[in-house]
Amino acid sequence: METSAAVNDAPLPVRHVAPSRPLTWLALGWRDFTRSPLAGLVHGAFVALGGWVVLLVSLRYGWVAPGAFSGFVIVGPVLVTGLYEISRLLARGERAGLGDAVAAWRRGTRPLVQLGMLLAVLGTLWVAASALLFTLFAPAPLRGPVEFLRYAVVEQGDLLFTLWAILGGLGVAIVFSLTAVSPPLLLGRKVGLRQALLTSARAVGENPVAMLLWALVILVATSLSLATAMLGFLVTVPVLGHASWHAYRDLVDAEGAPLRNP
Amino acid sequence: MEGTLFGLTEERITELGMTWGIGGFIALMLFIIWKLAIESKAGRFGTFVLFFVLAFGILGFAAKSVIQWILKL
Repeated sequence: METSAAVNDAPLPVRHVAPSRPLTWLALGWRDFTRSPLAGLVHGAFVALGGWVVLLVSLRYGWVAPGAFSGFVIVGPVLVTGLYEISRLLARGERAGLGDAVAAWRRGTRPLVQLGMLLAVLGTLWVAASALLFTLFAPAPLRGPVEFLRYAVVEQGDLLFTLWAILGGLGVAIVFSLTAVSPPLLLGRKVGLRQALLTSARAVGENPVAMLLWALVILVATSLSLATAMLGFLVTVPVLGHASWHAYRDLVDAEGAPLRNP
Repeated sequence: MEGTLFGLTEERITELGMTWGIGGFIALMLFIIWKLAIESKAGRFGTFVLFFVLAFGILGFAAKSVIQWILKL
C-alpha cells in the first residue's frame, strides 16, 4: 500500500469511447513504434525469446503447452512497462528511447511489481488447471506436442475442447478486464493496486463493444505471432504495448489521482 | 488402471473432476466476475464477459479446425 496518499479504493472515472476506437489505438501504437523502433524491437525480442523457452519446455512436457502459452500472454501487460513510459514521453513531445524504458523498469513501482506477481500466480494456476483438465481426459501419457495436439484436437470429441474454451474464455475475460488499462495507470499515477484493477474493470464494463474489439485484436495478433514461430512478436509486442498506453489515456480520467513522477 | 486413491477408482476420479471440479471452477469464475461488476461500478460488465466468452470459443474452434487440417496433411 502507498504510504503517502490516503488509500482510496474507489475506481477512477472512465470515459465512453466509440466502438471503433481500438483501431485508432493501433495506429497510434504503430506511430510510437516507428518513432522509437529499437526499444520496441528489444521488448519484442524478449517476448519472442520467452516464447521459445515455453516452446522448448512444451516439447519435453506436452501437457504444459496449452496452459503455458496462454499463461505467458497473461503476464504480457507488465512485460511492456517500458513501452508505456516511451509512449508517455513521446506524447509530452519529448524524445524517448531504450534508456527511458530501462529507467521505468528500474523504478519498478511497488504496485506494478505486485500486479506482475499476481499475474504470474494466475498464469501458473491456469497452466496447472489446463494440464489437469487434459491429463484427466487423456487415456495414456502424452509424449511430445504433436501427440498432444493429435489427441486434444483431433481424437477427443468436442466436449473437452468446449470445457477448456469456456474455462479459458472466462479466465481470460477476467484477466483482460483487470489488466486492460491498469499497468499504464500504475506507472503514471499514485494509485493503489486494487484501485487500478477496479478502474480497469470499470473501463471495460462501460465500453463493452470497443473493449471486445480490442481484446480480439490482441488475441488475433498473439495467435499470429505464435504461428510465425514467435517472430511476429517483434512487431506485435511494441505496437500493442504502445497502443495500450493510448487506450489508457482515452479510457481513464486520471486527473484526480496524483502523478507518480511529476 | 488398477490402483485406487482414497478408495476411488481412476474412472470415478475423472468423473468427479469432470462434474464437480470443472463445475466448481466455472462457478468460482462467475462469482469473481459478479464481484468485479459490482465493485467496479461498471454498467455492462456482464455483457462484455458474455460476448468475450462466445468470441473466444468461436476463435478456439476456428483454430482447432486449422490444426486438424494441418495434422491430417
